[in-house]
Amino acid sequence: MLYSTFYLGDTQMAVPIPCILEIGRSFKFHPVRGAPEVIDGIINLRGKVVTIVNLGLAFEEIKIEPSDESRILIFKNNSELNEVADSDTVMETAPDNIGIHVDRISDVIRVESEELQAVPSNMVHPFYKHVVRRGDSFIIILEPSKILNLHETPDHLS
Amino acid sequence: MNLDDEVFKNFLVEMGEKLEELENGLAELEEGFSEDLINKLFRAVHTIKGGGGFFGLTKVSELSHVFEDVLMNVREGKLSFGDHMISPFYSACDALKGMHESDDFGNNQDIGQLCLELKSLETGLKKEEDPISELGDITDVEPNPVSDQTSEDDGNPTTKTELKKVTNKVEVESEKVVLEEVESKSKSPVTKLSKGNRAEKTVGQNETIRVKVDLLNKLMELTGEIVLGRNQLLRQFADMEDKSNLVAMAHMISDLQQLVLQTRMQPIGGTFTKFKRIVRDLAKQLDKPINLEIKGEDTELDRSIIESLSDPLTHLIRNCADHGLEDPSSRVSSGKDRVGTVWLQARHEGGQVVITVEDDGKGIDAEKVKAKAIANNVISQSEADSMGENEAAKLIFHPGLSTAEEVTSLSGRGVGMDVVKSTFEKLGGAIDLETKLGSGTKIIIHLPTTLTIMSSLIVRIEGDRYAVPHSELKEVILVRPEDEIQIEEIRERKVYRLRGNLIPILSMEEITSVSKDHMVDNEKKSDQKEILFLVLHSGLNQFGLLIDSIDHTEEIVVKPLAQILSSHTFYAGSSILGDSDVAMVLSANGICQSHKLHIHDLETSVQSTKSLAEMQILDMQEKQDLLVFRYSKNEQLAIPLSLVFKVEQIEVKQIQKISNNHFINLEGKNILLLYLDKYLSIESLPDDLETFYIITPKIKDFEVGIVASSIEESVHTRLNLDSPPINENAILGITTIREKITFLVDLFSLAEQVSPERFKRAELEGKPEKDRLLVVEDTPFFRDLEKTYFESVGFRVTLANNGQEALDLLLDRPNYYNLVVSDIVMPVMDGYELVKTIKSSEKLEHMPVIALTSFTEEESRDKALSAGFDGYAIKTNKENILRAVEHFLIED
Repeated sequence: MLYSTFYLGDTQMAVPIPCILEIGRSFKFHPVRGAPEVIDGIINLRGKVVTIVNLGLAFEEIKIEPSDESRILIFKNNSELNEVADSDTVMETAPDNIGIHVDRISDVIRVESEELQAVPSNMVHPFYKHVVRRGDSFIIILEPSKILNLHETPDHLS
Repeated sequence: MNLDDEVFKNFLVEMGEKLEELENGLAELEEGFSEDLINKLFRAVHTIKGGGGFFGLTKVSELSHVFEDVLMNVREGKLSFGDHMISPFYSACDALKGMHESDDFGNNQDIGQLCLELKSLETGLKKEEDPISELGDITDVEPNPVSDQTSEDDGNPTTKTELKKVTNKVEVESEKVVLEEVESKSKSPVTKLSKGNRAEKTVGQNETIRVKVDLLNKLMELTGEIVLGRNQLLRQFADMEDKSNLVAMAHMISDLQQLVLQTRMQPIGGTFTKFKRIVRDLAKQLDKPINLEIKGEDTELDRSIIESLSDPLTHLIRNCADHGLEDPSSRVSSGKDRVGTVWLQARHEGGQVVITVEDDGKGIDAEKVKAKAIANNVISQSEADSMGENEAAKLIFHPGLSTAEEVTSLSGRGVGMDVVKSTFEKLGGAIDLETKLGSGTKIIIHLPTTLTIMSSLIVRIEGDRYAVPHSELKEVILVRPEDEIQIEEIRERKVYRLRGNLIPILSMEEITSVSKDHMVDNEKKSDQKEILFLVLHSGLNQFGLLIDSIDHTEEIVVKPLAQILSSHTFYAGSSILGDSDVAMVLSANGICQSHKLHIHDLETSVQSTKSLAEMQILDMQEKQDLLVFRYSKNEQLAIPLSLVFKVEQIEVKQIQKISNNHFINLEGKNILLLYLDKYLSIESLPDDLETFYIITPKIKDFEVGIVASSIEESVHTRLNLDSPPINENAILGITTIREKITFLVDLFSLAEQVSPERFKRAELEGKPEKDRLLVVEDTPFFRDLEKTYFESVGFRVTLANNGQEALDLLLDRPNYYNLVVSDIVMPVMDGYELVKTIKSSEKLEHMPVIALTSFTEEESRDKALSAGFDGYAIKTNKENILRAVEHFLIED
């Protein structure tokens, strides 16, 4: 399967491409007053209202500030995902269109399923799904449904 | 659409309902005779006859006339009821049903036999023939005597692969009713014409087709997007010179939006009617006689809302029957009628629908509720002590509280009221409760009419924009430093004294618990400056919301919040505005809930609202909401706020001049600008204005924008009108508002001056003050029709559903109405009784009353006049109805 990779700080991460609706930049964030800090705001994506999660804050690290390099990965919602579902892999995102704000994006990589490795026990995190080795470095494959449904893991919203 | 077409369709729907009533009534009659039942049947048949006659459905009116006669004789006791009557009644009912469904409304049907049979009942002669077999004859004839199949089909059926349209035309005297063309394609060649024919007819007769709800929803959603796109386009091309195409499209989109909204609107009646059965069953089960009174069945609501209403309303009605109403014996011993009454009503109020469920039972025992709430640790003893009766009663909405001492099969399992409450809240509504121990409980539900497209006010608060739906907005208040009433602070809570009520004032900071940095110095400044706030309401609760400024009004499509944000109930959702920005939509309900305003802070205000409401009834004549504005620099003008549709700020460059008229394009509509100095002797508009305001009045067919140089405020004031010293038609009078002389503009005569041909009140010009009619009519379609007719010639019409309602209105304001126009046959209190009561009342004896009825016999005229009616007219057509009233007022 193809994965889109991106960086959070120095860490390279990836999500399956079929989950992604589009990747954009320089959106105008409309703040939602009173919303948890992890929410950057909402944007108008050609008539759709999309809520944006700041990945840095979701990992309880440094907030990602909008820059020339920063990008928004906008995910398909579950019903859009179902329309293109391929029976081999079950994927899940969220009921709504949600975007994540990342530091910068990187290459698209192809990962065969036998390359997927379990997350080492000392770095288990709810958002992590697998780890893939590429050359000298590791790429962490994320579980979109966990990041996009932060309200189900209330710790991240407080 | 032609008015008459519309009216005719309404009648057909109504006739269907009456037939259903008739059938149900006959079923009850079979079980046992009662006078009420005969009255009910009589009224149903009478309405069918009236409408049938009005639209020239001769056979319908002929048959119902005979039927009515028999019923009348039974009603008046001239003929005693016997079981042998039931089956001819059924036959007549079925025949009427057949006519209702047939293409020509039975105009070519032979009903002689049936009429004879009915008439024979009057003479007491019983026909030997079995009526059922005759019924068979009739239904055999009925299928479709006149659907005009085109001759090609007849002549050459096998070559036709497509069955062509069947157009049904019914020409009745001068009125032409064209039913919708129905096209139906059949795949196989027509071999059996009759079969194809019949299939088509079933589609055609109700003029409806089934559409998947899903499709409607998508259509709705898409229309929402189109409206949005239109708003964006209009803004994007606002500076373009030639945008006629765009404007034309915008027009069509407005129409489209209206129509699509309508497709989802349904009268609430369907849901209400089924409660009749539920109440009947409950009465049996509980062994309590219960009378259910339903009002406002024709109130329309969005389909999705109606669907969700059924369960919670059933619960509320069961509660009334089970817990509210006492046993007949205890009712009698406490001096009440044996039969308990439950009222179920719906009505429109300020863009919302209000549903009330009320019983005259024993009320809610606040002490019991409190005790239980304390036992369940819902409240503390000290909280309980400080609670009022209504406040304590509202605890029943708390999860886990039910007042029934024993659990019955009907209700009282301790779940319920909280579910009811949350159901209504999910629909964007609010629920409230008033109770009085010993005399009953009233539950009031406020609901939005539709969920998707809402007209909203866009406001700015600390740099962000928010949308506030008009349905939740009561008023906008500007507090100037020099004003007498200021926002006060009690223990760090801001409150404002709004006409005797203390209402809480909230800021966005309090609502979201997020403070903004740049706000601090803003607030400091605002101490010496003007403060602007919105008064929002949720149900009976109201509160103020501090804002910085008002942007504009916009039709918005509310998009639900992502689940990730759904815990933020103070937002109803978000919306994309015309300039593609996203704004959060505020929810008054949500704010009340998240601030628990409904429990403590507002209880006092609810109570005083109530007493205020009572006060308002006392002096309703004098107290009014006025919009105060200026045209020239110095003169202050006012118009009643109830007649204002919209106020918008406009830039001078947006005006377009065509010949001598100035127009402005607003949301796709071209609106004629009205410069008041043309019609009133006042100074002209200042030249140096860059922006000004236009006020769009809420008067049918009067789509103009009244130009104002500034909007001052809206005041709620007791109106002391002095008549104008100068003879000025369009000025109602002079009053003083905030120590300034203010002209009150008479919009109706203004409308008359602007387009005299439309507002021809000329015939009544000598008596413009005599224009307040009270129309009493039980049939919704005649009621609306009469209202439309009277209003089209400039009367101010108040409606009442029956004699009792009319009487209440009259006694409330004895000197307000100039003329009563009443139907004769009505439930609760009929026209004869009404006129007798009016004429024997000291306060009302001079009130002229006209009978407007579908009785055609001379005898009835005499009866009406001797009962005290001052005039008598028959509802046959528009001219007749209008003439009756105009003649009367002129002769007077």
